[in-house]
Amino acid sequence: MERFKSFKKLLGRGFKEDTALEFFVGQVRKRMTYGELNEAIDSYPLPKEKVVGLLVDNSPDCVLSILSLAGKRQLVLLNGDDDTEVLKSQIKATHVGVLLGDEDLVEELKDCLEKDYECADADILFFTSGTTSSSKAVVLTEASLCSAAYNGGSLLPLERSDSLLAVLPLSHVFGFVCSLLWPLSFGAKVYLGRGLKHIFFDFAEFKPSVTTLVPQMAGFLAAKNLFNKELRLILIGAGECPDSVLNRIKGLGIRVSFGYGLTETSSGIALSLGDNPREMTICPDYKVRIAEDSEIIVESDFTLMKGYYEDEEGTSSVKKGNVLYTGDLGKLENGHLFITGRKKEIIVFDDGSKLFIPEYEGKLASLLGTGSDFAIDKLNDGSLGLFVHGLEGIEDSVEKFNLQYPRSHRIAKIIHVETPLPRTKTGKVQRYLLKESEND
Amino acid sequence: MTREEIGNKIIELIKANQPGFEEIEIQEDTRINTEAGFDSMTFVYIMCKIESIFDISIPKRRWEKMMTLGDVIDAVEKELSKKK
Repeated sequence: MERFKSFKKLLGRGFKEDTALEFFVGQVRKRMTYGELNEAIDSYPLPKEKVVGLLVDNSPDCVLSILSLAGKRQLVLLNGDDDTEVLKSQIKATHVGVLLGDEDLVEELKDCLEKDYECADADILFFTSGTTSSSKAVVLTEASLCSAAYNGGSLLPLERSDSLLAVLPLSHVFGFVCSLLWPLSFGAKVYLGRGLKHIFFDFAEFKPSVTTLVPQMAGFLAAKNLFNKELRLILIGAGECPDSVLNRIKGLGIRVSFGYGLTETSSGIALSLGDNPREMTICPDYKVRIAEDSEIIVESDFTLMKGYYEDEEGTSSVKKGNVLYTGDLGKLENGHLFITGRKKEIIVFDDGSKLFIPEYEGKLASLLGTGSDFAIDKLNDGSLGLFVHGLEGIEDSVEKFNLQYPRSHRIAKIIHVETPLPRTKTGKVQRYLLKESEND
Repeated sequence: MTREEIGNKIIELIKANQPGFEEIEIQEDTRINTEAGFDSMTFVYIMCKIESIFDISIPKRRWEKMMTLGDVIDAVEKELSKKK
């Protein structure tokens, strides 16, 4: 396995005449060979602006733009499906000078652009999950992302004959590295999924041998029996995956590997390779140790972020040199890493998205009244629950509150608790005790 | 197709595709999140089925604004009227 420093070099692994990308343009299925892709990258017109925002939509044009502009312009990857206000805030925060992608959305966002911003860097910025105030731009590089693909590929090699269906958003680092760079670094084929609306049909259409999914998608597709019989490997990441889902997929004769990583580490830190998906083998570039409070601390010379964009304080709070404090809790056993929880007050959903509890509850407080007795937590079925004490008739208000969030971050159940919520002496809600109220 | 017929077709579809909904009464004011309890993936699946049986395409940005079953029926009615 070879380590690359640029996407162009990584693509050089593919045979010129082999298919690199296969996709739909309207109703027509098309392909692009490695040779054609390389030529298209060489002839890609560079914009004069130094910071380019990409409204990522997994289209071939978008993939070509990322591969062509990397290393030549500062690239900001934006999720075109995000709320417009979130996008505006992200564009302003990163000084985007020109925006590429869906024309209507570009038109809607054009007033946020900063045309003359000078930038000497040519990094790739990914946003972590979160809302306008909590989402952070993480500065990665071509080299760090290529190293992440090298790490994953070293533990979980693919064949040139493999074909991977890419359905995860490429604006998220897990989707980008594991759905695009990982297969391309082996000269394999990438099927570009047609978007969320088509995910239920894309497996039957493309018949991939490999795919990458978040737990919620994996569980749903398995339950509906929508995987094709040629599928041999699913790499699952970005969230906890229930045993029931893993067992169902294994029952279909499909190998499951589970990945653990962060945007701040350019994706994977460890992968499960054997029968136990919780037992993770640490990727070659990492040294992992566990702090006294069980926090996972990782060290790498190749894959860590440069930092959070224009946020020295935020960066220095989690990164010291080539060491990163992950905020996740874990343990090491026989050299294998096991994830045991989260240090920060964050809910990680089965679709891989994260919710910052203090911020969310702060907004709820302005709806329910400051000082009201309430708390949120993830319920046993994976959805979001609102636990309240002494608050009646709030259903309509909560339903309206829900509209400002993506569907996975909406309150699915209001649980009225008879006694005041359990709290510590400092007033912090003891969330683990809330689970008992859910079961009552 | 009348509003009632659209509604009935959607309810039939939900009951056929979502385990546990066979015996549950679903009405226009049923809230998709807090009452029907669809997670985001289930919602997308049901919406795709709705688009398929009515042969319409509802803009994805509109999906996020839907609160009740009535909102879904409104969207279907709107798209069907464009086809006339």
